[in-house]
Amino acid sequence: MLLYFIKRLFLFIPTLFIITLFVFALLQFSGGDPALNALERSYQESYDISNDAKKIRAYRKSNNLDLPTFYFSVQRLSSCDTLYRFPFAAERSRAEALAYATGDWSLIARLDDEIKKRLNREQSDTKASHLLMEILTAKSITQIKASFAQLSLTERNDGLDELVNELNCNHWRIKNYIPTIRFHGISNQYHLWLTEILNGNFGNSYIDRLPVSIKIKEALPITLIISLCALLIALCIAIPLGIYAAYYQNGWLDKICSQLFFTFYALPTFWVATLLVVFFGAGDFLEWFPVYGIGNPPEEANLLEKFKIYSAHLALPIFCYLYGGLAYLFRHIRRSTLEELKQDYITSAMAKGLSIHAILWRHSFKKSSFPLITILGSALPALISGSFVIEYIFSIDGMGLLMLEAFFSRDYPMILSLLLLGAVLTLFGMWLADLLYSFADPRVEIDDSKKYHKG
Amino acid sequence: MQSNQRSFTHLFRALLLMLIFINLIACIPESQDDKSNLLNKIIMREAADAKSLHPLTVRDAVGFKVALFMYQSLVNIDYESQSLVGVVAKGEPQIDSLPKQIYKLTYQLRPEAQFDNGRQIEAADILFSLKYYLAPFTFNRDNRDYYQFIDSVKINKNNSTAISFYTHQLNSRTKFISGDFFILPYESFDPNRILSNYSISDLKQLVKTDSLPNLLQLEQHTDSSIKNASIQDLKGSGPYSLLNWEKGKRIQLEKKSNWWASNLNEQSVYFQNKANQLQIEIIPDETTALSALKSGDIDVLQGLSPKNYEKLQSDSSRFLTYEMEKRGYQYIGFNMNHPILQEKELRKAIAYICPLKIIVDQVYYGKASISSVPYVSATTSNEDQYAHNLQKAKNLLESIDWKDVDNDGLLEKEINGELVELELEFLYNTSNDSRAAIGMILKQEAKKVGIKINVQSVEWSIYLERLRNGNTTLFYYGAQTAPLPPDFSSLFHSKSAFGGRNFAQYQSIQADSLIAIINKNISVDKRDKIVKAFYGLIQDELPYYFMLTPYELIATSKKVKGLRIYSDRPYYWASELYK
Repeated sequence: MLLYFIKRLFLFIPTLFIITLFVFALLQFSGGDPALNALERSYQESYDISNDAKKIRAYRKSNNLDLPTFYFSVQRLSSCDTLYRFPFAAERSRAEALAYATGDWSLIARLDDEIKKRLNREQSDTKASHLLMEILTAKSITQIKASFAQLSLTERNDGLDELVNELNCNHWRIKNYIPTIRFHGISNQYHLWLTEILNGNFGNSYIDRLPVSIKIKEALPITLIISLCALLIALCIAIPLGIYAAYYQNGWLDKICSQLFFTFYALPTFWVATLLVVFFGAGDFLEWFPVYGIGNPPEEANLLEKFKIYSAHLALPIFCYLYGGLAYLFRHIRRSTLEELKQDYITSAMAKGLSIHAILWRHSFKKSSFPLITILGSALPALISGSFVIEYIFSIDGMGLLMLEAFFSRDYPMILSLLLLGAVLTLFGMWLADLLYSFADPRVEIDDSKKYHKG
Repeated sequence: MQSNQRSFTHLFRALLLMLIFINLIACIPESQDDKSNLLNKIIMREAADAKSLHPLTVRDAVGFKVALFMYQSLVNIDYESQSLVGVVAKGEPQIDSLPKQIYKLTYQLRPEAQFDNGRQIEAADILFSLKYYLAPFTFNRDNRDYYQFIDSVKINKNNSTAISFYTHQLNSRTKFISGDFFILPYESFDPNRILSNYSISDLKQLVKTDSLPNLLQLEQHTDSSIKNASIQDLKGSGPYSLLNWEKGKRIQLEKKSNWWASNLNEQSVYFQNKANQLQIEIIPDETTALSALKSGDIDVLQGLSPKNYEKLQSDSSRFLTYEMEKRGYQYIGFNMNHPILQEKELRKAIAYICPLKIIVDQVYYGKASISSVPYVSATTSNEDQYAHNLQKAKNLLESIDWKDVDNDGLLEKEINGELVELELEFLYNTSNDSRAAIGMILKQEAKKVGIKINVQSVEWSIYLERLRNGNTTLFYYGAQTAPLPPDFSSLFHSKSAFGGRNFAQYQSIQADSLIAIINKNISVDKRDKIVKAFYGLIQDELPYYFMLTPYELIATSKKVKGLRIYSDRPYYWASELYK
């Protein structure tokens, strides 16, 4: 059996690899551009409006965003092979549209080069420069021709007219229907990122250039504390109530707990959190708890004072974390206890005169706690992911807010690191749950044919 | 029966334990109120933390707000007179025209200006600071672009309080921007005096530091300082020093005891330091921030929504409220490359269906003002040229052949041989309730004239991408502007159209020419005339329908005194407040 668990550990590697591929692909398809977000954050009104393109190019270069995404790409033969080098999505979509229309990207590239040469010669704010600019930004052949037709005869000469006439040719449109695989080698974003991860370097955040590992290290403890406290308290409440509700099935305890916890389950977290802040923290009603942060105890405070301050600040967030999980835990414990109580050995124990307490806790609980092992195993990633709603409302600088900010800013290194961390913990949680099963019930064994037996 | 009793006893014990625990922790420590009164500490709320407080990389609004208390520039805009006021310099630069179209801007420094170590701020410090902003560090790109226009600098050896900048690019904003960088002590930022080995032109020509070990060392030192947010490195000549920065939680500033300008009899905001301590608490959620204000945990709450502002306004026994029209604009933009929106009559018709007064009353609770131009001045008319008029909208649409052919209440027109319905998408960014409401109002009004508007929200990153990509129809956007001479380049110039901030993709030779003239260094009267002509053009062509500018709404506890609200960021100066 030990071998089985070791094999499971080794299977992590290909699983994680597939997860990274999946996550990387999702990020590329999710839209948004971290360079644009950075530009928006750093926007200064300036004279030189071509600065935006320069800044985006420089930003993409310094963050390796000007490299191809993966080792290879599948494209039409007519497509531009260096599409990833265009700084603006507008330029990329124009390149794609014109390449498709003409069937030959190289023709468009030559036309653009010629236009840029002429623009450098022309004075700005002339009609000719405007028309040339229109050609350079046109997304269709019709638009190019319409602008070209307005140029004077002298402006059309020296090869420009030939290039525009070539646009009409249909020779190359067959290339639109021929797929091609373009290999980019190891100089691609995925490879660079993977290499860094394997060397233990999670990269720097795009938002403030701080190392991702440091930002995670700062945010993780508070999220862990809140999650663990919430989980422990939820277990302490749900387990005894679940067991007694099962024993006194359909009694007042069972009915009240079921109704109450499912009502809790139905309440959205953001609404409950806001109500708690307004009713228990604001100056209008009860002012029992502080409303934001985790507390700022003075340096000279002793341990008990610090505990009081932190507890006061975390009471409401912890409640918001745990109330939803109560119903889930309660129902599982109740159901599994009910099943156990129907077993013959329980009847025998009762007949022998054992106390209810002993029957429920010493005998039945051990078996009925199996679902708990699964729940705890799957709770592992949830412990670190936090809840951005709760952290947002209570101003707690935890993993939830970190993830939210990373997504909104398209902070790829942070997003990939957090998702990878979550994936590792999920796999580890499942592995741990299986291991604990085998310890909890000696009848559980794995045979050579890898079938899972119980009893 | 016995077992029932036992379980009830267990339950009772558990509940009792919980109550005791809650009481233990619910005895919350005294609020910060009393302590902050004694310390004359002002506690403010911000929705997000500063990204950086280092002078080279401070970009975001909160970072700038804090940096303005820590560092000073040569000059800055006076919030009341809207003219330049000298901060480290005595006043505006003297501008001299030299041969070969070179301009010289000379600043005279205040002889009393000092750093914290008592060293007088001299011309050499200005030169060092400018070099620092032009250093070829990878994270310094924005600053290098911004100050590229300065060709060289000269210091008079006989007069250490005078410095001259030379440039061949003089325009309407040069004198504002030339003195708009923080003056920094080399002891903190370049202790080994590495930059003294390079001239301004050397630094401008360098692209990176890789080949220069000493510059590379300085870059690494600066990078480390930025990432670690080392408080001891972030020194300036401002009225406050950084006491503490707990990332994501709070920023604390302390008044300097021997600040050089303490005894200056200057009323400008840049010379105030009434509060002993300034503390910024990071509270993203407005409801939580409101609760914190009510419970006395914070003193100043800025950027309130109109609804919450009204509630606080009605509680005048506990709170003071302030409102001011912000300098800026909000508009509905039209994608001029969209086949339907290419006719200006249609754009005008959409402007006519927009009920601005209703939007101001219902969406902003009256806390916004109608503003039909992007830069408002005393001489330009701010009247809405397209006051709500559905009949005019219908007439315009009819004049360009939009008719309800199939009697379904929706207008159609033949475009390129195809019958096209008048259906448009109104795009805005998610989590913006006011824009959502404006979209719905517009949709309802548009229906009355036969236009179908689909209101669509997208996440911010996608929204930015679609705007820059020109993948829009109608869109809503807004921005704050600075109290500087207007520069319409980014919004209207054709060079900004493709991937830039000219989201309407507006391209007009006439507009480009007018912008070029406006940006020149011409007299205020002449500029106003050209701006008026420019506004006439854009209000006729209507690439954007400028609508309104919302008010800045601030509330404070009654203990806080001295607040003056301004129309420019940061809208109030915490250094003017006291308890």
